[in-house]
Amino acid sequence: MKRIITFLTICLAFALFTLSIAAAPNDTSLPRVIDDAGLLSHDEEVTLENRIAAITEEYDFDVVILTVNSIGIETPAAFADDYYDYIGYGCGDNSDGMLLLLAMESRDYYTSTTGKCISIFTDYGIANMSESFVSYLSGGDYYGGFSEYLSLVDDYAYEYENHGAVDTWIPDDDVIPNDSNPVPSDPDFEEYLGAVVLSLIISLVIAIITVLIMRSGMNNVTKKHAAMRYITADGLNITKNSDIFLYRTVSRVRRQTESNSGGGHFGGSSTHIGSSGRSHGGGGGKF
Amino acid sequence: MEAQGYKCPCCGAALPFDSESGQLRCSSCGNSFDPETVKSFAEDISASSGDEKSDWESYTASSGSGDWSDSERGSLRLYTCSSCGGELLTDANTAATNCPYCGNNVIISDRLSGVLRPDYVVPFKLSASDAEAKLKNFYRGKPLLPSLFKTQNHIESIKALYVPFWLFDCSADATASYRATRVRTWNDSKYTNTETQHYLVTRAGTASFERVPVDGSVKMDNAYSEAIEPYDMSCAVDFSTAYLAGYLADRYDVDADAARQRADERIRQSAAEMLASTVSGYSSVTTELMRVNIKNGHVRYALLPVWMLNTTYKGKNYMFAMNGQTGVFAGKLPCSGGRIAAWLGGITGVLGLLFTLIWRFFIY
Repeated sequence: MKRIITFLTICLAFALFTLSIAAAPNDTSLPRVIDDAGLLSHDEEVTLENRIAAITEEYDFDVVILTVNSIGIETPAAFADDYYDYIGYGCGDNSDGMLLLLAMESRDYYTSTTGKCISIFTDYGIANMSESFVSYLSGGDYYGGFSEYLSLVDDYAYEYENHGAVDTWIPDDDVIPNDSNPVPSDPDFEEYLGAVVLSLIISLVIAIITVLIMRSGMNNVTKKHAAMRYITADGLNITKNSDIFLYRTVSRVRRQTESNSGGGHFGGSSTHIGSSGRSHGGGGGKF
Repeated sequence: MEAQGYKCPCCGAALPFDSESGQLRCSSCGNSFDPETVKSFAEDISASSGDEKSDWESYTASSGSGDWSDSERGSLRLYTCSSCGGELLTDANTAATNCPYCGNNVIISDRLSGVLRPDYVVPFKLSASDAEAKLKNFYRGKPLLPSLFKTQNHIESIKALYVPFWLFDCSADATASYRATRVRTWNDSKYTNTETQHYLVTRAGTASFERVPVDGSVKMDNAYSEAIEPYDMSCAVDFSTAYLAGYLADRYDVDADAARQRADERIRQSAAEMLASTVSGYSSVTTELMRVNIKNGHVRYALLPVWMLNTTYKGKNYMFAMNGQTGVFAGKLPCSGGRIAAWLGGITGVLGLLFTLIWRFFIY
């Protein structure tokens, strides 16, 4: 009897233990703010960690903020992806989460996304977010920047859940200019040259036509080609007038079918495969 | 029914009769035709495509107003130009001195035989000063004329001349057949369809021509004499030697037969054009057959008034002719190369600048 009870207790304990591990979305012992570059005070770190915990609780994905002095010869994308993968961040089967990397020496910042965060944070979304918070980083206010970043993460995740990911619409016919903010500038020399040459050619053609017309007035000594003036007042007397239908031919050319309506697509997220074999999305820049 | 093999108007293959449909059916192209249609088509094609020889009467001394009377002969003088060989008629009281064509001396001649008596004459209505004024007017509004031309163009001579013309009356009957198409295009869900309907169009008609003029002088360039047409023949009067007083008349040297050809050309062209203008409502028309027969050809000889002006500018001779009745003026003016370049450059420059500015401020 005693043995059965012990066995059952051990089973229960084991079951509870496994359950607790399975239930836990992630390893909460891992730090979510790793400030190797020493940009934040201890209190700031704690505040950020708490905010991250709230986001993870709410939306079920991980958020990591990593600052380092140098990433060596690696690209920010590879560094961020590898850090996230090998340390083992992420929630659920797809390791949903994101990592913000700040490399001080090369002044790079990079957001790496995994799992459902790839869908939540599109290329357009990441670019937009970066625009908002990078000014803090450039100004040296790292805490402010990260704070802003986390607010944006919250907003975008909320947006994703209620309306869809923050994204841009690319119409089929348009080519998105590289410069998302075209600044109207003066035409450069080549454009001027092209326009001037075209204008001159058109003007020359008009000039030639005009001169030819003028020229034709200089010489009016021409033979008459017919004798229309000398026809009597009776004019032409038609004696036979028949229009006979012979045959018809029909030819057809297959038309091009119209392409699907809508004429465009969402920007989406571009992804790449990290060294761990897992695919990540993301984007970054310099501050 | 005659055993006549008909050819398909579409592809030319043999066309057997299909008793089922009552039509002639072509096995090559699949088209069916009404037998009447094919019959008239074949008739048109088999008719000779060449024109019959024009039927002009010949013109002799007794034609038209007949020959000179003796008193008329007495009052006529014939002059020949020593340099260019031109022969000029005038009345006994007019002393001709210079050839209107080349300006050289003319000598009186005895050879009056062979000179035909004109049937009509259109008297001069305009004077030498009118001719000069018209010349000055001709210079106006000619932007390519060298600027010195107006001042330096020296009028060498202004001569009034009766130019001999052959006047041709006739009736022409013309037959033509055309291939015409009507094209229709429309779109359906899968295809762009083009339907071409082929028609055989025939037209025939007659018209009468009166007094088609062809100049009878070799010296008088046909281009000039046609350029100053038309003369108002309602003012034409029967010839009398009195009209020659004070004026020179060029004696014809192109005889009626030779002039006929030019008349033929113009008459046939007119007939063809008139017929073609009745074919309308088609996308395309091509002439397959054109036959013009000229009948009842009637020739008359007339003297028509021309003012001839000869000028020189920088060593070159310029001739101008004016219709002595209506004032229609013809001539060739020189073009100044410099002015052409200036106009070309100017227009190109101004418009080029304008377009560039438009591009810069409105398009870019």
